[in-house]
Amino acid sequence: MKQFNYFRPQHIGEAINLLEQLPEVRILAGGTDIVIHLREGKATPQNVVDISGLAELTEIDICENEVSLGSMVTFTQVMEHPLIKEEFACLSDACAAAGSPQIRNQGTIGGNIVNASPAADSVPALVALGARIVIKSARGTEEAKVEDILTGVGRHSLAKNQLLISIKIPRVVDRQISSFTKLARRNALTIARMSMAAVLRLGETGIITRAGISLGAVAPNPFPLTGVEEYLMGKGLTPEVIGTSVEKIAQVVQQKLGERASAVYKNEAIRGIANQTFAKLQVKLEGGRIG
Amino acid sequence: MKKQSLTMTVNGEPVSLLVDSRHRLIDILRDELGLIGTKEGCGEGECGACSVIMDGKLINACLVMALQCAQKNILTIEGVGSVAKLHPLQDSFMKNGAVQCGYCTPGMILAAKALLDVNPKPTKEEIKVAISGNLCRCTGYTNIVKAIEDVVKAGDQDDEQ
Repeated sequence: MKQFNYFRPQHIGEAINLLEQLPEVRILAGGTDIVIHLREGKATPQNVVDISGLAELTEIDICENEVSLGSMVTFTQVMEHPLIKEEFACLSDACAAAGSPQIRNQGTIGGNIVNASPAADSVPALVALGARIVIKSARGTEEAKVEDILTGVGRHSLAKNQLLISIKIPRVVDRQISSFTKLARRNALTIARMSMAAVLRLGETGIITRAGISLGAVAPNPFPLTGVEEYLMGKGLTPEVIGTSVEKIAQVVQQKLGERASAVYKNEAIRGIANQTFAKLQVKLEGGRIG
Repeated sequence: MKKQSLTMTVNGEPVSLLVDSRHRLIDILRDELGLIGTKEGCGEGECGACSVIMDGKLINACLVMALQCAQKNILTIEGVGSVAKLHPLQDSFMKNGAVQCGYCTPGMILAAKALLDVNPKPTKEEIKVAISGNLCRCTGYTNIVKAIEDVVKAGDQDDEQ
């Protein structure tokens, strides 16, 4: 491993100053990816800023209109939080499907975003929920949609002096249901072959007033399927609507994958994943449940 | 390069040492503190052989930099039971033949302990999830799960007495 200078700031302001001043700097959070990269020589920073001592970033704040997850909140914290389980089941389930108990105790939600893996477990759920990230730098605070900062495999648009502070998820007063499905080779310690998150907000008559549908491990980053979301608006979750949605989702997958070797398998598998995801929503709808 | 000082608690004892910024927790546990019960398997968080308990949570010591452990409380297998008095999990692993080559055993015991510390009466499914980050290539897991179940059952008997 290459030598580097190690810094452990005690508050956010100090961390931002370090990021502003230091050249060739990398942020160390949960460590589940970067420690491996440092060791393999894939990451060779001169300076490492360890933000794991920033207690402010490890909190989950519940406000009336939104839930705020500090960027250092772990997968375990998310999956065990009773309100997240109840209101944002897709996110809770996605975090529970990540890695292993150890990885879930160490890996952070902010790290999962900026690591920018195509198969990032929590990101499809965050995208479908309309989550926004809060970024701070010496110049001030900015907000962006999660999907807008992801620019490719392992790439994001944050500048080196910007620190991801938190992830804000809107809470809704009307009825919202969500579900998540991960297809992988086994249950534990596995990277998603494909994943899907679906979030539906429903009016009093069961009509869909907002839809969030997103896929993981199909494109360089998880992304929202805006065409399908628009199709679902104003409709009820009937078998016909589900059938048409599944076909539309399958078409998007086919377009994205093109002639890739995995396409033959994924083009078929997506129908099963999408059907499962909608079936879970239907069960909730029939049971009169939220989340 | 100048080393940096690190203070933490390991197996109940305060520890202060100078650490190279490149070293991971597994490196200092084994090479500086001589606690070689913690094994390194894959070195990338896939096998769980290096599992330790940090502030009550099971973690892989290969994925955390040593300097990140400042002020943390670490429990390794050396802090679980003693030769004179084994921890019930250690005793049960032996009785159930849950140990073959032994390489995964320290991590397995700590994974089981991390579970039982917060959930003394887990279901079989909860036990399987709790050890899902720990690979064993010898036993096929059956006897490991049984060993943990036996400890849970013994706990039930203690409750009844």
